[in-house]
Amino acid sequence: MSAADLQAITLTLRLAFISTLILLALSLPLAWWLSQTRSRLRVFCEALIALPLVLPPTVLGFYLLLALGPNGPIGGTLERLGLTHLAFSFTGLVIGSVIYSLPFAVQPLQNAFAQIDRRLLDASACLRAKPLDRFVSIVLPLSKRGFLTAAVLSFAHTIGEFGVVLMIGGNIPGETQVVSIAIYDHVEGLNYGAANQLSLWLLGFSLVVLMLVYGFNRQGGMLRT
Amino acid sequence: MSLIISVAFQRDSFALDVNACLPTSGITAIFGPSGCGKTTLLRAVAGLEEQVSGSILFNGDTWLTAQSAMPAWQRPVGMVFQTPSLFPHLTVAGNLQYARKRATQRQDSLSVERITQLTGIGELLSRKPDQLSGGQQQRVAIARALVGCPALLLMDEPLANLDGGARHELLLLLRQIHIELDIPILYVSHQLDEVVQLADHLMFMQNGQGKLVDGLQAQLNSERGRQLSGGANVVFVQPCDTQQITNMQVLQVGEQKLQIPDPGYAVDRLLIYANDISMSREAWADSSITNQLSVQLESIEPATHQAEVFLKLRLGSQYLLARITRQSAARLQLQAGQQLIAHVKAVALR
Amino acid sequence: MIKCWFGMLLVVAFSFNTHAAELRIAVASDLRFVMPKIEQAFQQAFADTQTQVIYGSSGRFFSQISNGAPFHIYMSADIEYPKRLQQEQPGTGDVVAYGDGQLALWQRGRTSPDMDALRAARRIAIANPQHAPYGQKALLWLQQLPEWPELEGKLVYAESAAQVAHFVRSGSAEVGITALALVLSEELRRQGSYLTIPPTDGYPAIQQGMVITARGAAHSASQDFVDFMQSEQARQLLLDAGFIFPDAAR
Repeated sequence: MSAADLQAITLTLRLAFISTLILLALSLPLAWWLSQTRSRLRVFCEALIALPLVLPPTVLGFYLLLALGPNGPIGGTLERLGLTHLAFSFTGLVIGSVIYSLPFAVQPLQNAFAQIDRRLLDASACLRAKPLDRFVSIVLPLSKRGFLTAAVLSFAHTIGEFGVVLMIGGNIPGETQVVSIAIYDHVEGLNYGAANQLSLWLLGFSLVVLMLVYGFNRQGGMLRT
Repeated sequence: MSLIISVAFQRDSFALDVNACLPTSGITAIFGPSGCGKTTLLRAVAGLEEQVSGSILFNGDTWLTAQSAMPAWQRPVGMVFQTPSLFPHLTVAGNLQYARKRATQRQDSLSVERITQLTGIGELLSRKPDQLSGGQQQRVAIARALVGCPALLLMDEPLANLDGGARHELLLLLRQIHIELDIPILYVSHQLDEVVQLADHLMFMQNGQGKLVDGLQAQLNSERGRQLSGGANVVFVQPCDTQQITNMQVLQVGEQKLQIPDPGYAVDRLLIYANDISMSREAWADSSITNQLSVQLESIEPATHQAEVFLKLRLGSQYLLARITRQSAARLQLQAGQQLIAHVKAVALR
Repeated sequence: MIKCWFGMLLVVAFSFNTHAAELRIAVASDLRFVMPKIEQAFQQAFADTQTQVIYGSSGRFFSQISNGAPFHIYMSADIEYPKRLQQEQPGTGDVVAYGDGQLALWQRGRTSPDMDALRAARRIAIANPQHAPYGQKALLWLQQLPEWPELEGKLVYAESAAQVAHFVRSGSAEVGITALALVLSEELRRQGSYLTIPPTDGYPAIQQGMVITARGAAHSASQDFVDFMQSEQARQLLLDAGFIFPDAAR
């Protein structure tokens, strides 16, 4: 495998790892709120989070490009502050991945949280456990499987991302050229051998990841996403 | 020292309206039919019903006012739910430690070791909750609430999901806790026998309403008590030291004696239903009923059914209610002040 | 074990690559096979300069650069995109024409395609005329053919000139119309055969232009590269790759 391909793999793993960390940090409070609230906002938020499931990634990528670029609201503000905009940067890819994979992190967690018996939380409240304490000592251990599913799916989904990266990434080796883009590039250059090698790697990796997820969920029934 | 509750709550067609001053010593039972709001009241005291408004004062501390509500985790209560609600990811010992670690004032009298022994769960410590029977789970739940060193223990029908044997054992455990530990207990139940066996004080609840709290006997004998219990008497008894019969316990009410099959523990009170008392003017020698008590007829009062009457009978310093038909009362020519014999089918409480 | 994996992932996640000094060149994909040779020659001439070449479609590069993509030099497959960029993006350098591309008919196998092959094909691949210059020119050429009415329904559109070759190679289309510079490459010669369609033959010249982007103005090597592209050495490489220079003075 060429140095450029190895670099694409490293970059992809790095992107997936950082995105997963951010996704989990975001999804924990978000999924908990969604699982507990009776607010009317809930339906709207659920729909919003699920949007990447149905939207073509290009739509998301297109709007991200506009928003993060030097003329967009986010990129433009950064430029005015003397910083660089985020399109075609690794940071921009992380933002795109986080939005794109959000449903894959939120939904397993939300499902796991919703299945927790309310009475256990009442019981721990009556044992003088504060809200955060309850979350850490009761909710998290009881939704371990949902947590792992969320982490693995976020990771895998980020690895498999293409459309968003194509729009906002710019195919820059070492910065934004992830494996899926590198494969596309190899195919365009008619370099089928390299495309095949990278594709096989991605195939094997995804298979292992999915086997892990189904392994976690073996006792818990269906994999829910 | 008291728990002053004045709360209101409305949800759909159900309305809770309780104004009561409950003593914070011994066991206070809240008794009423299913759906009368007992559980909601108990959860409001624990701080688990956020929509309940009003005021709750416990021994001078404000738990709930119109302005603010102390969150559940700040209230020094222990709660035992109808379902044990043990933390499934922790062992029995883990469940106990969970409570102990978070206790605000750790009392030695409620140490994990002592409570483990008292509740008889020493051999279960390393097990997970799903490896326990229903009765064992509820024992652990009680132990968990106790090692958290609550100033008030709340119990929401803790025996409701248990079958005969386990239920009986747990009832004995609760009596023992009552005797050995100095923790006030608020006990919600719709089972009269539990209430009679455990309670020192009693509050009736019906349709979300609850007001008067009084001694157990006085409450049962009140008009409301008669309606709700269908006429039930609790008679306090002492063990009789002078006489012993195999497999039987001999008990004393004033100077008179009663025998019941030995239930295996020292009986101090009996539940006698008004229907299970029959009357005669003279003692019978040839009856299967051994327990014949000499009583004085205090008054004849109407019962819910037109054809029946309640007889209020004086038994030493206590009162008994008997329910007989108007026809029998007429045939026996009963009048207030008469000395009568009450034939009692007394059984130990199960 | 898990801790070890976690540690490795952390290292992977936070190890950053440094490539700030590289001259980043966005190159239209018709140059895909000649560009490595030009790159090599440039690096020999300017030993200190590292280049990083990214291939793609001219239209996509145009919109990416308009939105701030970090390319220093933009080599388009036409001259219109660079001109527009110069008008719209302040700071963009002057447009330099570096050669004219030509179209080629391409099919798999050892036989050179002819008009019969075009008529016989069930599918004809061209690059998307909406954003690919070679697609636009290919469409113009096809439209002036007497057979156009029967050919129109056979067209399939590839993302770029390079993808046309991919469509044909994989058998999805029997014939493709793509850049001569691509089919002359060793890679494609092994796969199939071509027929040159010179621009005198019914379509305007595919004049290709390059610009130094606003961002590239600050890179010391930008002008070197543009100058190098106009050197004899670079022109010879382009000539070998099928480019023509009809007006040598330009």
